[in-house]
Amino acid sequence: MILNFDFNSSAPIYQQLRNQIVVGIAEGKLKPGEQLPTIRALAEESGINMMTVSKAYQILKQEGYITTDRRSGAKVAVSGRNEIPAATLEQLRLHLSELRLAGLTKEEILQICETLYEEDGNK
Amino acid sequence: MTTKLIVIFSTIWIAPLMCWMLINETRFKKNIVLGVTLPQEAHVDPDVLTVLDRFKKTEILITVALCGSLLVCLLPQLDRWMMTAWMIWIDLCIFLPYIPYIKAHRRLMDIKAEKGWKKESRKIYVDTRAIGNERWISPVFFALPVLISALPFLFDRSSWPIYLINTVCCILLWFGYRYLYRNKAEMVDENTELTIALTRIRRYNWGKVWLLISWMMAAVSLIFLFGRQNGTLLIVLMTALTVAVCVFALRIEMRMRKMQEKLTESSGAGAYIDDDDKWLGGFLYYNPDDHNAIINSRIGLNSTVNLASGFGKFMIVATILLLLGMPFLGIALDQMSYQPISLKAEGNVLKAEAGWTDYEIDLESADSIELLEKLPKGLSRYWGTGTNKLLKGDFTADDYYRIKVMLDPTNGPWLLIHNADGYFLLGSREAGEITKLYQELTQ
Repeated sequence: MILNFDFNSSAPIYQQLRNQIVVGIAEGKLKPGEQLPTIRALAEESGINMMTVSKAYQILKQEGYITTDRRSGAKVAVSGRNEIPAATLEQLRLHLSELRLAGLTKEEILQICETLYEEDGNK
Repeated sequence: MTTKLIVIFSTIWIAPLMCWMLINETRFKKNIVLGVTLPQEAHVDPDVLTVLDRFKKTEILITVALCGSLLVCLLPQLDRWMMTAWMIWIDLCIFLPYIPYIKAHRRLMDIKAEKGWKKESRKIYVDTRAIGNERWISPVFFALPVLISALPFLFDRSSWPIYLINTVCCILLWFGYRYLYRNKAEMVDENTELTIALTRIRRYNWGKVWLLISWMMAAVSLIFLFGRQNGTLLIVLMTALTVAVCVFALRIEMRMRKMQEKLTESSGAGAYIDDDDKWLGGFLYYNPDDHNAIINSRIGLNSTVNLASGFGKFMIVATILLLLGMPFLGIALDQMSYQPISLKAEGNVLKAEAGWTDYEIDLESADSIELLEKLPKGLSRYWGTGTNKLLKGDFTADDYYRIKVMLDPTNGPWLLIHNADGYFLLGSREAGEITKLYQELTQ
């Protein structure tokens, strides 16, 4: 999977890394059980700080997207239903409010969600 | 004349080599040409091809001019300033070919912008499947040359500094191999297999070069052990070894470039990596977002530095100072070559002085004082200064194992003294001074 870090973006690098791995897993670019680069290797490769990579991996582990092991390093978690993080639900609530304020009906919002869901599944 | 010819033949290759290396950069490798990343369609773009063609012609002209100008060193009028002229010439060989390079690079960057080939900047791409596969050569492979470098010490204790330097160099070469390499995948586009192949080729050749140089150090120790008694043999063997290693190293670099060219010739049609915004002038890396100080060169095998790091800044300033300081070094060498030689007999001691070197020769223990009309056969420098106007330091000669020398080789005769401390061969810059001194000492 190709990761890209945009240093002009307002999103912090650890957030960009976390988001790309989540999207990668959802789109099937990263398979369950697939080995991820070690923190050191990813930091060396990208030139970003080891602490930044470590922070992203910690968040991913807390959210259940990856597992880490001292011997085998980080791996994509074997799929199962992860608990939805509270922050994600908060964000979803905010985005739904924004769409409602933009004048979209429930059906229209669901239609957009379905289209995006299908698009991601086909990538 | 011999010194001049050595100067010319030992350096004249720098200009064609620089030309060859820079002209090689006009061939697309990893979608890069003259330090500019361009898409596949640029391979046949007439504007791009015109810039490349003009660049090649200019480089050839500069090389011819540089080679011709080195022959100026043969002029007898330049004898006094030969080293200065030589150092300036080396600086010109390094700086001049980069002027058309930077010009052509800037023109290609303009074409890139005009044709809409420019990409977003400040992005870093990482292929997660292509990293973390590194395998380093075991230190055991470096241990063998380390041992061979040190081994001659068992048979020749007197030249221990040379064997020690070679052994330490071999150990440092392992550190260089291991830590001067930026462990980064050679990503060109989204093709993971290509990235892995390019990375493996680079790492394999990187190890090969460092190992080759460590074996060269081991060979230097052996050559010194077997050739130390014969100055001519030593010079011939050392020259042959240096030439062989340079040819091998250059061959590895060019083969590697060829492979990079071949493997990436079909890249650049779809998505491809463009790092141009991080390379000033196409060859100086400046990326504050990258915390690494050592960086792999874009093309070939070399490493370079990140100018955004403190270490990178230090290295570039040190390199520029070193290059700009070379003419001053030439002036110092020319001055040293013509420095006065002072010979004074005080009681039973003869004091010989030239610059920082001085000998105090005990005449009481001297068992022979000879006046030589010709310099001893096979006189060869072991440690010290050897220019066409000054020989100073420890030398070897066919009939003398070790001999301390301080003389102007163009101004005979010379005085050979043997005492309890060994042989001393002295000369003067003033005509008749040595003959007068010989008469005084023998009376």
